[in-house]
Amino acid sequence: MEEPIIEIKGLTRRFGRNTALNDIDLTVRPGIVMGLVGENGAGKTTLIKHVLGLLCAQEGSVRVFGKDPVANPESVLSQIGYLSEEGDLPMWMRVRELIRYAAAFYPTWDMDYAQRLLREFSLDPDAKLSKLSKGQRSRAGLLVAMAYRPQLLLLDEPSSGLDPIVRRDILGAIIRTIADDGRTVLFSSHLLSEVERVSDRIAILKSGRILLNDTLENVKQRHVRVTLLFSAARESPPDLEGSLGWSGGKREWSTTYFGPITQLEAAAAAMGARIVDRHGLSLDEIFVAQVGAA
Amino acid sequence: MNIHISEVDGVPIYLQIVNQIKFLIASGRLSPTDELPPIRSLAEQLTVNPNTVARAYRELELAGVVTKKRTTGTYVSEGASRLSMEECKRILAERIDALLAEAKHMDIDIEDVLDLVRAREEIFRSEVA
Amino acid sequence: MTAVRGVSWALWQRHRVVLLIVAGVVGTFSSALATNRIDRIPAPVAGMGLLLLVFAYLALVGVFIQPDADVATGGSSYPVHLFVLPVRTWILALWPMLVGTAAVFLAAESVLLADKSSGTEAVPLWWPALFASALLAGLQAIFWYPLGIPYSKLVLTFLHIGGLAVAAGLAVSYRVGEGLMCAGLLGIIAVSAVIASIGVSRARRGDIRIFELDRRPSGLSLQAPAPIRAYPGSGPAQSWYEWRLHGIILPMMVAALFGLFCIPLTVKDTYTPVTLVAPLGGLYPTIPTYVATYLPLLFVLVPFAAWIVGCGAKRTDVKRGDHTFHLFFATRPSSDRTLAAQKLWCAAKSSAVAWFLVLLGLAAILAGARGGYQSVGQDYVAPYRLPLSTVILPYLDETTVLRSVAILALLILWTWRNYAVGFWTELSGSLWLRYGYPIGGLLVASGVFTLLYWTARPGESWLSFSLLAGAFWVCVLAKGVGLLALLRYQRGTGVLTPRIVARALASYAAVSGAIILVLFALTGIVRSDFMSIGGSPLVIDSLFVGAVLFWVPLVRLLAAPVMLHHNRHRS
Repeated sequence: MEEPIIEIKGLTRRFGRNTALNDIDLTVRPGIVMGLVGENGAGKTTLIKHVLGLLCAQEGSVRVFGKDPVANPESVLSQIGYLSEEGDLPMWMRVRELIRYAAAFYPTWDMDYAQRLLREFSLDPDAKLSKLSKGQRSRAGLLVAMAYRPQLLLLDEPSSGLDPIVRRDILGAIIRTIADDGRTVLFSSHLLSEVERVSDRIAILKSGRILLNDTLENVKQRHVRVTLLFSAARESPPDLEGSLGWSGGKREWSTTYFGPITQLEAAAAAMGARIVDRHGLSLDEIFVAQVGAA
Repeated sequence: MNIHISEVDGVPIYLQIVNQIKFLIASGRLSPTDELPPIRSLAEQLTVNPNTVARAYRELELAGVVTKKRTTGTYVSEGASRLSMEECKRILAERIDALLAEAKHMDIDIEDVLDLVRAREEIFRSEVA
Repeated sequence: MTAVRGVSWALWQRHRVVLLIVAGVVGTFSSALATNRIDRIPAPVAGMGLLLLVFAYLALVGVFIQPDADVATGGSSYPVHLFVLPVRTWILALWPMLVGTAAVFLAAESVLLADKSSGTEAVPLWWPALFASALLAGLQAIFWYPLGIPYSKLVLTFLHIGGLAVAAGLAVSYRVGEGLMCAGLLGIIAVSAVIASIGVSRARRGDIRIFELDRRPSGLSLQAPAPIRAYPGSGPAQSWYEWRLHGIILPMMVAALFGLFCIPLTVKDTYTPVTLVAPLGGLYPTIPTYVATYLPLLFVLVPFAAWIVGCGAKRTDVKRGDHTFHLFFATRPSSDRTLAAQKLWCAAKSSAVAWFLVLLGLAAILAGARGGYQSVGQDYVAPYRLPLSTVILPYLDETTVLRSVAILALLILWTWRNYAVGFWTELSGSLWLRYGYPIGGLLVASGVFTLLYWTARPGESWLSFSLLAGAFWVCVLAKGVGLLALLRYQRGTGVLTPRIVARALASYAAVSGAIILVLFALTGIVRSDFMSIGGSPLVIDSLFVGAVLFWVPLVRLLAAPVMLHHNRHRS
């Protein structure tokens, strides 16, 4: 079994009285795309900053490529390509200067690839970063994160506020990374349709805890929206283990159910209801159901 | 290759790819010995995970619809059209099951259903012509 | 007038704390002055008070300029979020200006009135307060007008402050009546108000054009772009980055200062003899009085400018809002030590380049200005048509040259020192450290002087050498304690390995030793002067050694990578 790219054990982080991360265990194996989803403030950015070594683990341990990112910034960060939603690029640099500067830090930099990406992204090399649009700046940041073919591509809400064309470029980057053998992607996003398209595994974060960490296929299979038709009208929603919130009234009640289908059928029969409708859910709906539930 | 993926469908993406390729073969838009695009380029075209495309290709291979030649790529098998026809018949059978269930629910007799099918087919034919 | 109230409330809300502190300082100083005459207040206390007043004034300037963007841009610094208020533009511009000038005027006036009431006779009552107000009004106009030329604000600030100071000085020396001075200052305030209004309205409309040096048409060219050559390593790349970030600022400032300095050289001047060199054939060289008086001041201004730049008049890697590092900087695959070392190295290069420019300017003066000779008995001998270089050259014997080189080296070191010792506060990401350190340092120094004054025995000068020497050695001890505290603080992070600490201590010892040697070799004359004032050789020597050991930086330089590590891995 290959060594995991990221191994986080028992990670806890507090900012004053606020617990941003609470006993997080997360392992990311090489060669997969891991999608990190959660509400704003759930702790996604905090978790990613721990991977980058920008936060020290208060409790627990963080290992990236088997090393502590705080103690080994050179070896760890030279293999990570990072794109953040803030796009903290220095505004006074030109694109050409940015490429030239970044190239010096990564031994695996491929200048031909960088120039190809420059043409593909239609970036003017002599333009100042402050003059570029937000989408173009994201492309510049993406170029600088991809040109050295990092072992780990780390994206923190890369698509936020960007037009669909830039989003396609970013998704394309993720796919190209994963298609090259052995490379890994960890990205957090609110655009669950994108997460659904490209992720192998999903981790849902809520209030600093991991609600769910499974392959995308399992997640989609284990969630189902059912409508139960009861023989007698009910005033209050039925009590069903695995249900994430009810809607409806009288004889017909609908719920999003998380669990094995056989258990659902047995429980429904025991309550005197039969399943009249059943269909799968998109990741967006699954997320709302899981995170919205108490 | 003209494939469209929708993630809000509820159907897994790899299954959508499998079904659409089968449909393309069955409708003749893909002939036997045609080459399917490499996994990587199809993944980039559809903006989906290459592992998903790889899984779709594996499913198609298991079903015998395509054959994977080691160095050259993935090709539509010789007997693919026939196989796909069987697949399509299976899909239709599912739809018919749903139709029959609804008819029963609405208390409509099977003879009336068949008359209805024939009537709709006549209209369909005249519209296409 | 709810609009006016709204703008005032916004101002108060944002700057309550600062305004209250300033009011407290001014009130304390005024009441102290009201009860005692200024010459009865002990000098160090008065000095400290004046320093606090200056800081209070700077704080008021900072509040009322409301700088929103950094100084380097060409656009307006007026806070953009106020533009969305349903307030007319001229109110937005003039109300803060009115409040600011009034506040400054009142503060200055209270000090002056207090001074007058305590009995000091020759205190001008109006024009210094108006001077402070005019200074503020002009700065507001400069900062709010979107001129569009990068760094123009910096240059204009210098010109404004320098111009007003020179004008005031000339007015005082030519005994211009106070009424005329006040009228002139009021005129400046009025002109500033007009410029500020126009500027704010232009900024609000977005009618700004930033001048760019490159006039290439934007968009892509049809040709393939030139191939991009990589740097040979991460060191040169980071060097380039630091230089572009903040390294060019000090040389630019020094060039501007020198340019300003050279302007009065065109005016006909008197000449003074240079008595620091030994006379040749009974003749001293004479140089223009202006050069003799103000060139040493310029030399001292360069380290002062470096102190200003080091304190933050530059682009930084620290975000303005939460004082964490920009992610681009924090995710460099470089160790904390390397990043901090590159910053310090860039400060050194910057200082060296600045002094190189000064030397170039000096060479220009030597070639361009004129001088002559004067006999020891003070009757003029030669007409003043000879270029300074020809005049000075014969007097440059070995010792003079050696002394000059040593002094130059000291000045460059002083410049670098001022630039580099401020880094650790900026890198720490702590607002308290960033502002508290310079202010606190000055307060501590003043406090030490006050202590010395009060513990002096009667009959002895309060600036007794033994006490001063003792003070320096206490500081050296504090340095040692600080070093141990720093090492303890960073224990476990691995930033300062024993090898690095050993190398730092060795460099410190080498530099201190070299400076002490040079001082003892060069200042034989000065030492004897000190000894004639009153002090044994031992005390004088320990004073010098203590001063040098205190002056050469060690702990603050070592603190830079530690603070960088703390801020980088905690954000």
